[in-house]
Amino acid sequence: MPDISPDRLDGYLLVAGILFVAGVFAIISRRNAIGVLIGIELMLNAAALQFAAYGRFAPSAADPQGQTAAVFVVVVAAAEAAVALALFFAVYRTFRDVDLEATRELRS
Amino acid sequence: MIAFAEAFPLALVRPEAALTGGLLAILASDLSPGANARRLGPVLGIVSCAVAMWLACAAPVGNVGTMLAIDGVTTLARLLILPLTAFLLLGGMGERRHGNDTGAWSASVVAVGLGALIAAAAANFVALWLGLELVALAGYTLVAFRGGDRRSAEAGMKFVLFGGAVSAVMLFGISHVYGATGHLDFVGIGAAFASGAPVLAGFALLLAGAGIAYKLTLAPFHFFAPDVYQGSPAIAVATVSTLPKIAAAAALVRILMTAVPPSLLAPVTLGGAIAVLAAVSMLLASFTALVQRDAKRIVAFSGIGHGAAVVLAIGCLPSREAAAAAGFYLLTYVGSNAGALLCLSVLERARGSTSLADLAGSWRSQPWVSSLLCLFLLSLAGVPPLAGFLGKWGVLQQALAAGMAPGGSSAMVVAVLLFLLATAVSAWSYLLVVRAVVFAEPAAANERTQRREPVALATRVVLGVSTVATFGFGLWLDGLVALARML
Repeated sequence: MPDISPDRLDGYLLVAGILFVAGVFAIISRRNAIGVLIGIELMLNAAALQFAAYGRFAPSAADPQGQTAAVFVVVVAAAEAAVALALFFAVYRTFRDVDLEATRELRS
Repeated sequence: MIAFAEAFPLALVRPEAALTGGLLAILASDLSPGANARRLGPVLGIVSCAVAMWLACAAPVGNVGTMLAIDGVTTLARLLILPLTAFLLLGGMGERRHGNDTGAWSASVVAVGLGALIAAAAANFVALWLGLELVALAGYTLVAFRGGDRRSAEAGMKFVLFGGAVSAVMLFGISHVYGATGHLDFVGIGAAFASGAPVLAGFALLLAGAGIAYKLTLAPFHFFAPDVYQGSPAIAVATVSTLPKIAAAAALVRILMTAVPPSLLAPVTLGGAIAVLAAVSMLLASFTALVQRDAKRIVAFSGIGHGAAVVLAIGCLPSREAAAAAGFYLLTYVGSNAGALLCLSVLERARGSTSLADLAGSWRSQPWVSSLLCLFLLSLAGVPPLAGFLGKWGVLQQALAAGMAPGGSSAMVVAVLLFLLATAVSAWSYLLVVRAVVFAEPAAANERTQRREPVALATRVVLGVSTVATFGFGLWLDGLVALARML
């Protein structure tokens, strides 16, 4: 059992790991494109949390790299969500659905 | 000001700055109410590429903090990316002349080029990830650009979901690399490995490599390519199948040279493992291509094979010639690939789709474009006087040298044999397209519905340049040596 007190690294890594696995599970199990997108966002935020935690508990006390990386991740995740939702909207306008099974025309 | 100039030497990144300026100018011109100003987009993009190219030729060498490394690899990548971006813009001018969304299109193409420049120069995992994300986000919009088209929209959705997932995995890996080594820059990570980093760091590095493998469409990250390529406009495929590969190859070279110790996967040699992975991916692609019934899908599987060939050359590092062979291979690949896709774009507009059934007999109605398509495909297959042959020859030579050298990896020799087999098999799939275009009888219904439209001047220029490149690089026998001297 890891020590999950707030001033130790383990708890943060545990939460990040759970978020990441939840994201992977959502990507594998969801048939709705928005569900998959939520899974991707969970994975990205797991990474952001991990960056911040590793930066906070770095051997050289104040290492700004991790915190900076976390901010970049938040910004890019927002951009990614915007582009993805715009594309889902384009799909919805033509298929009237964003179900990944119902929107399949491309195949060999 | 002096402190800023020391911390951020702008002189090193002038080409990137020029392209950023071009991107902003395109976005600004797109806001203008006049229709003429909005049509300026591709011209602004081409001009900024030309300026960036001029600056790249005289660019000094050095490091921008620990974020970017401007060295021989970066210079070579710039000299590949910038002209290619300009030609893709020119091709877009020819192929999308009726659209009123030229500004958005050219901004996206320039953004892909800019992201590729940043990723190719990155010496830090965060910079690399940001560069690849810029490539990806702009690429998603290009793929889904044909508004109201079901297949284009579906291709865009698949691309964004697959790309987003891989990018998240890569980032998760990067965060663990940072946690295990305390560094995000390649040199620092390399030093941490040299002084004994935990096992976790090596595993995390492999996760981080997933993003690069995906950009090079290496198996098992290739599933998106056939569907995405088939669904999107051919000129968008020409962008997303070439620029990301150059960026990822440059990044992979830099990571292997600085961050990763050759003993990462001990007792297996890293180069050998990479080469075998590449050869398997190549073989998979060449056999799957045989059963495809759409020319763009065949080009997609060929792209997987060509990406793998580049990785095979990179597996022969740290010799300078190996990196040059990868660069030369990309040089020969992008010219022929972009040319082939441009031909397919013209034929697609005239015949409705690029399925082999619709392309049947196109040689009779469009002899020039069809003949050029066959020429580019033969170059991709590696037929001797054309560029593709010299590219393959260079990779083969490097891989054999690496495998036969005393203490060399026997995995490399196996990879070479698989490479030869895959080349022979994939040549057959190109011939399927050639057979359909030249020899097959056109379907009667198809001839009636055909739309005749003269080929635009911009398209002709790009096709001409691709043809010259396909012949010229095929005759540039000491090209590999010249590139090696640059690195």
